[in-house]
This record gives sequence, C-alpha cells and structure tokens, in this order.
Amino acid sequence: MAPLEPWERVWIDATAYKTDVHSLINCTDCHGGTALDDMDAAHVGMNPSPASDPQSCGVCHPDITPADAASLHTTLRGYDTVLYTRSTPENHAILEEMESNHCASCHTTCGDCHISQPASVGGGLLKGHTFVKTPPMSQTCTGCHGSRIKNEYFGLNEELPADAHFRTRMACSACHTADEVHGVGMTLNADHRYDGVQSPTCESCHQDKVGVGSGIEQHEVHGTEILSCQACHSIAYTNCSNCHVEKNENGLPFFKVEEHALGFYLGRNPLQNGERPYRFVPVRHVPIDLNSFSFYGENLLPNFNRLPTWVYSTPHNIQKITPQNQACENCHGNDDLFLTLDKVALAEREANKGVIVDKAPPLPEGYVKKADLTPTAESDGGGGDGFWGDGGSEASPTPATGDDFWGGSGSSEPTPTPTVSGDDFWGGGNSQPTPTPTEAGDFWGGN
Amino acid sequence: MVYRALSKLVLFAGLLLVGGGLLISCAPDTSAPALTPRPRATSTTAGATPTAQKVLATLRAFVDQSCLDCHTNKDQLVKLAVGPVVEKAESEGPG
Ligand code: HEC
Ligand code: HEC
Ligand code: HEC
Ligand code: HEC
Ligand code: HEC
Ligand code: HEC
Ligand code: HEC
Ligand code: HEC
Repeated sequence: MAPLEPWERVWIDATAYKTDVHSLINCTDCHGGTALDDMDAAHVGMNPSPASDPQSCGVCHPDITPADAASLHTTLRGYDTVLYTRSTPENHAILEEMESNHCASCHTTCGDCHISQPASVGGGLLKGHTFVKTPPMSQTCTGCHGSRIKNEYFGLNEELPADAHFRTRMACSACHTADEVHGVGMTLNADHRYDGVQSPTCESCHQDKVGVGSGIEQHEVHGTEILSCQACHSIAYTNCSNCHVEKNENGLPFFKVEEHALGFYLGRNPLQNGERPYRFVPVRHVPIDLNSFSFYGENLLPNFNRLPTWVYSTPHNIQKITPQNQACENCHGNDDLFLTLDKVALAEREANKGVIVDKAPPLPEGYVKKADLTPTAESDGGGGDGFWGDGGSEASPTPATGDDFWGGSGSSEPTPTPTVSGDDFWGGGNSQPTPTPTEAGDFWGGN
Repeated sequence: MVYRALSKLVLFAGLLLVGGGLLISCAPDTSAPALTPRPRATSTTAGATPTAQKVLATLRAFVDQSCLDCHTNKDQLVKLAVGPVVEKAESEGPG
C-alpha cells in the first residue's frame, strides 16, 4: 500500500461519514479533547486512538468487546507463551522489555480492523472515518500478516501459485468470520493460535468432499484423522532460522533473519489432540534460536528445548493437486518430504524429538499404483519448475472492483503475480523494511 | 355426575398425553443426525444490538461541530497536518 498523505490520514469524508450511525456520537465522547476552533487547544487531552480502550465501543457492542479483550489480537499471548515456556520467571521482565520494543505495533484494536490502517502500513483512516464492516484485506489483515501469509495467499513466493481460494476471490474474512476474530465462542485467553477449536475448519465448507464417502481415492483411504488437509493440499512455504533482534545506533529496534528457504515438510503432529488428531502435518521452522535475544542478555532461554522449533502449521497456499498428492508414492516412501533427522540442526534435535519422523511411511501392500494426477489449468500458477508448468504466467486475479476484497479504492496494491526479484520478493518491498507485526509474529513463532 | 365424568375424561386425556409423550420419546429419532458442534464459517452476531439502539436513543445532540468542520476541510488539513515522524530502523529478512 502506498502510504496516505498526512492530510488524508486525518480527513473525514463528510458525505460518507454522515451516513454512518457513529456520526451521531460526539467526537469528544470517543476521543476526549474539547470542541474548539483552535487546533492545539482542542487537542489537549485528546486520544487519537479511542479503541485502545474498548469500553468506548463496548457500551454499544457488548456482545463483542469482552470476547475481543480475551482474543489473541488483544492479548498477544502467543508471544508470551513461546518465550516464557522457553525461559524462566526471573527473565520475564527483560523479555517483556524486549517485546515492548519489537512488538509494539502488533497490538490490534477495533480501530485497526474497522476504522484506520494499522501503524505498520503507515496508519490513517480507511474510508474517511466511516466504520467499515468488512475489514479490507490488503489495508488491514495483510498490513499486519504481511510477509508469510500474504506471500503465500497472494502467490508472491517465487514461482508458486496463489491459494485456490484467493483465485476465487475469497478475502480473509470469508474464512475468518467476525465471531472468530472477535473471539466470540473461541477459547478465552488462548495460549497460542492453535489452542482450542479449529477455526475455520476446511470441512465447514467442503463437507461433501471430505473423507470416506467423498469418492476421492486419497480421501477414502486416509479418512480425516491421519493427515491434516494442508498435508496434502498446501505447497512450499517459508522456513526461517537465525533471527536476532537488536537496536541500532539510534536506539531503534530491528530484527535480522539471516537464513530462509522455501520448503515443505511433513512432521509428526506436535499438537496432537482431539481437535487436531492428525498423525502428520506440515511443520514450519520458526526463526528462533538460543541466541536470538542475546542483545538483551545472556542465556535468556535456558529451557529452549521445551518447545519444538519446527511447529504445527497451516500454510495459506491451498491447491487441489500438489507435488506430494500427485501420486501415492510422491508421499509414501519419499523421505525428502518428511522431516527426518538429517534435516534438523544438531543443536535443535532434542527440542524437535516429538516432531522428527524416522522415515517416510511406505505405501501399504496391495495398492495398485494409479495414473498420476496432473495439476489443472486453474491451479497451474507460476512458471518454472516442471510441476507448476513452465510459463503459466498468471494465475492470480487482477485487483479490480470489489472494494472489500482489495480494500479501499487504492489500486496501489501490486497485482499479486509471482515476483522473483529484489524487494518485492519478500513482500513489503519498497519503503517499509520495518518489522511489521506479522513479521514479528513469524519471528516468535506461532505456538 | 357430569363433574365426575368430566374429571374422568380429563384423567383419560392426561394419561393419553403422558402415554403419547412416552411413545413419542421412545420412537426412533428420524430427525437429521446431530451436527458436530464445530464453528462454522458463518457469523452469528447480527448488526445492531438492542443495547446499541438503546444507547443511541440516549445520545446528546451532536455539538462538536468545530471538530467536524476542521476534519472535513481538506485545504485546512493540508496546511495543518504533519506526517508522523516515526523513525524506523532497517530490518532484514522475511521475518
Ligand atoms: C465511536 C467513537 C468515535 C467517534 C464518535 C469519533 N471517532 Fe474518530 N476515531 C475513532 C477510532 C476508533 C479511530 C481509529 C483509531 C483507533 O484505532 O482507535 C478514530 C480515528 C480518528 C482519526 C484518525 C486518527 C489518526 O491519527 O489516525 C481522526 C482524525 C478522528 N478519528 C477524528 C474524529 C472526529 C473529528 C470525530 C467527530 C466528527 C470523530 N473522530 C468521532 C473513534 C471515534
Ligand atoms: C452509541 C452506540 C455506539 C457506539 C459507542 C459504537 N457503536 Fe458501532 N454501531 C452502533 C450501531 C447502532 C451499529 C449498527 C448500525 C447498523 O447496523 O446500521 C453499529 C455498527 C458498527 C459496525 C458495523 C458497521 C456496518 O456498516 O455495519 C462496526 C464495525 C462498529 N459499529 C464498530 C464500532 C467501534 C469500533 C466502536 C468504538 C470505537 C463503536 N462501533 C462504537 C452503535 C455504536
Ligand atoms: C495490527 C495488526 C493486525 C491486524 C490489522 C490484523 N491482525 Fe491478525 N494477528 C495479529 C497478531 C500480532 C496476531 C498474533 C497474536 C498472537 O499470536 O499472540 C494475530 C493473530 C491472528 C489470527 C490467529 C489468532 C486468532 O485469533 O484466531 C488470525 C486468524 C488472524 N490474526 C487473522 C486476521 C484477519 C483475518 C485480519 C483482518 C480482518 C487480521 N488478522 C488483522 C495482528 C493483526
Ligand atoms: C482482527 C480484525 C478485527 C478486530 C480487531 C475487530 N474486528 Fe470487528 N469484524 C472483523 C471482521 C472480519 C468482521 C466481519 C465482517 C463481515 O462479516 O463482512 C467484523 C464485524 C464487526 C461488526 C459487524 C457485526 C458483526 O458482528 O458481524 C461489528 C459491529 C464489529 N466488527 C465491531 C468490532 C468491535 C467493537 C471491535 C473491538 C472490540 C472489533 N470489531 C474488532 C474484524 C475485526
Ligand atoms: C480458505 C479459508 C481461509 C482463508 C481465505 C484464510 N484463512 Fe487463515 N486460516 C485458515 C485455516 C483453516 C487456519 C487454521 C485454523 C486452525 O487450525 O484453528 C488459518 C489460520 C490462520 C492464522 C493463524 C495461524 C498462522 O499461520 O499464523 C492466521 C494469522 C490467519 N489464518 C490469517 C489469515 C489471513 C491474514 C488471511 C487473508 C490473507 C487468511 N487467513 C485467509 C483458513 C483460511
Ligand atoms: C468459507 C468456505 C471455505 C473454507 C473454510 C475452505 N474452502 Fe476450499 N473452497 C471454497 C470455495 C468456495 C472454493 C471454490 C469453489 C470450489 O471449487 O468448490 C474452494 C476451493 C477449494 C479447492 C480447489 C478445488 C478445485 O477444484 O480446484 C481445494 C483443494 C480446497 N478448497 C481445499 C480447502 C482446504 C484444504 C481448506 C482448509 C484449509 C478449505 N478449502 C477451506 C470454500 C472454502
Ligand atoms: C492424502 C492426501 C489428501 C488429504 C489428506 C486430503 N486431500 Fe483433498 N484431495 C486429494 C487429492 C489427490 C485430490 C484430487 C483428486 C482428483 O482430482 O482426482 C483432492 C481433492 C480435493 C478437493 C477438490 C474436490 C473436487 O471436487 O475437485 C477438495 C475440495 C479437497 N480435496 C479438500 C480436502 C479437505 C477439506 C481435506 C481435509 C479434510 C482434504 N482434502 C484432505 C488429496 C488429499
Ligand atoms: C501426502 C502424503 C500421502 C499421500 C499422497 C498418500 N498417503 Fe497414504 N498415508 C500417508 C501417511 C502419513 C499415512 C499414515 C502412516 C502411518 O501412520 O504410519 C498413510 C496411511 C495410508 C494407509 C493406511 C491407512 C490406515 O488406516 O492406517 C493406506 C492404505 C494408504 N496410506 C494408502 C495410500 C494410497 C493408496 C495413496 C494414493 C492413492 C496414498 N496413500 C497417498 C501419507 C500419504
């Protein structure tokens, strides 16, 4: 997104805002300050971000605010969980200081989804201060979930196609509903993003195509509890390692990820439970290591091995046909696809012992090899390596009309075609190389 | 007499109801199987809550005209608004 001009960030669209029910409320009831003609005097005691106190919304939206206050967007407990579990209580204060430096813009208020763009994309009002019901995907969600999810979903990773749902123009909120993101009916004060019920479930939309009775051979043989849907339907995603946080000579916080690579690995399910019964799931390496926070102190993660560094993941790049589900034996007996010991760094083997796979499970006797599947035209995305077909240049829809889908009138969002070079490659591109919340999110690891 | 007959009838009707109730509750359930209580990709909280309506009804009249006038006046904002001077440090890598 091109950043808004300073005046645009604070400009109220009189015509549009007049039709919004909230325009009946006095500015000062939400923002404080005093209604005066002199700007400086008017702004004394004024709060530009009233939604940071959700009670300003809660008087009228009492069905939403209490749950939202206990949702991960507000609590950010996911970060504490992965840090504190690996640490000891005497280090919490110093880790908290580090978090407040590096994760300040992760906090998500009602306003960050409904009224203004998050700070990570430069801030400013979304639509002239109207309260937008459906958060526009690229101005809000991917403003924060910027590198990993955006690149996967839009198909910005090298030579990889966009998510099948993106190609049918589904925005984030098509799957992640109001109730889910507000935390209504979800686990209160969840420890991490996969704590509690799955939301959404793939099954909720594909009921007739799932498991036994679907008529799809691979669904029939595996049912729904051996593999997660993503184990067969998602493709390579970014794995990072060696992240370090520091401050520069001016005291400004930054991070550095030295190594990253696209890859796809099935590991043993580190979160196996009734909600997520799968034996095998895609696992992603999160960029944490023993020395990630050494800038802030010695040995801050003495219990490093308590959590795996290869974590449960649900990549947002769903395809019908994938390299691993194209034929039974692309998966069965294919050690390259599984997180075997040799793929795990020596220092991290202990932490990942619950995830590492001895060897790929062989195809059970008695199955006749069928003809291989080939990716369909629609799922044929990028160019390049044989699988996705050479030169299939453009799989992604071009940004067009739908405001909700692209967010705002801004045609400034680049067309999400797979890009290979330079800045664009890792997303964010041009002028905002700062840790956006997702980057921080990725950094701390999902669980 | 009439009264006793009536009360018998009532008793009978009562028994019938109870029996019928039992019968129904013993009959095989032919309704659709219970759905797994999983969250669906649909929303349940509807737009305007009664609370919101009530609070709206008690709102005082809009008097903050000077705030609105300034913030809807583009020319004035161009003069007054200054960009946020947020300094940012360069980070490297996909995070
Ligand atoms: C119902 C509460 C509410 C009312 C009434 C309201 N605002 Fe806001 N306003 C917000 C929220 C919420 C935001 C987004 C910032 C945030 O995340 O809290 C916002 C953002 C803004 C911003 C952008 C701030 C920035 O730095 O990005 C301006 C300017 C603003 N409001 C001015 C006004 C004016 C002028 C009025 C009256 C005409 C008004 N607001 C009425 C809640 C309100
Ligand atoms: C005085 C009561 C009141 C307050 C305070 C209030 N709202 Fe609302 N809000 C409403 C009503 C009423 C509606 C329903 C409007 C409709 O459905 O037409 C609504 C609708 C909404 C919608 C949906 C918009 C749409 O187009 O359907 C959003 C989003 C919203 N409010 C967010 C907020 C946020 C965020 C705050 C706090 C900064 C807030 N509201 C404060 C009364 C209020
Ligand atoms: C201001 C930044 C910001 C914005 C805007 C934002 N998110 Fe998030 N989101 C986060 C952070 C940070 C977390 C992780 C919190 C944690 O793990 O502790 C998160 C977590 C999540 C989660 C997992 C936790 C949960 O509550 O289920 C989902 C799903 C999610 N976001 C979807 C969305 C969608 C969809 C949108 C747009 C409608 C969106 N986010 C907008 C920052 C943001
Ligand atoms: C992470 C992003 C995010 C945050 C934070 C968020 N919302 Fe929402 N909100 C959504 C999404 C997504 C929808 C569903 C939009 C749709 O269905 O089109 C929604 C819908 C709504 C609606 C419309 C009615 C409904 O339930 O469908 C209201 C009102 C609302 N939000 C108020 C709030 C309030 C108040 C807060 C803060 C307490 C808040 N939201 C915080 C993403 C968010
Ligand atoms: C086709 C449905 C679908 C769409 C569209 C979708 N998601 Fe998801 N998302 C999921 C599923 C499924 C999960 C895993 C949920 C679980 O296990 O509880 C998930 C998990 C997440 C998580 C938490 C796990 C993680 O990887 O950090 C975040 C954050 C998230 N989604 C953000 C987004 C954003 C942002 C968008 C839009 C760019 C989006 N999602 C679009 C289905 C979807
Ligand atoms: C909110 C509903 C919804 C959710 C949740 C959802 N999907 Fe879909 N999915 C769709 C729609 C709509 C399409 C496009 C139309 C179609 O082919 O059915 C689609 C298409 C697909 C396709 C491509 C089919 C083709 O013919 O190319 C696959 C594969 C798929 N989904 C798998 C998944 C997986 C795996 C998940 C969970 C991560 C998921 N879906 C979650 C609605 C959903
Ligand atoms: C063992 C691998 C495997 C698993 C696990 C798996 N799928 Fe599939 N799925 C396939 C293959 C292979 C196809 C393509 C079949 C074909 O085109 O002949 C497919 C096709 C589909 C389609 C497209 C159906 C159509 O009509 O074109 C959808 C939707 C889908 N799967 C959803 C899911 C969901 C949801 C899950 C999780 C509950 C899941 N799959 C789990 C291998 C798998
Ligand atoms: C993406 C990986 C993948 C693909 C593709 C795949 N499988 Fe599997 N399959 C597995 C895994 C993992 C298991 C569980 C092995 C274990 O637990 O030891 C499994 C288990 C099985 C089982 C045993 C089921 C049970 O109930 O325990 C059979 C039979 C089987 N696969 C047949 C097939 C056939 C036939 C195909 C092709 C049509 C196929 N698989 C494709 C990964 C795959």
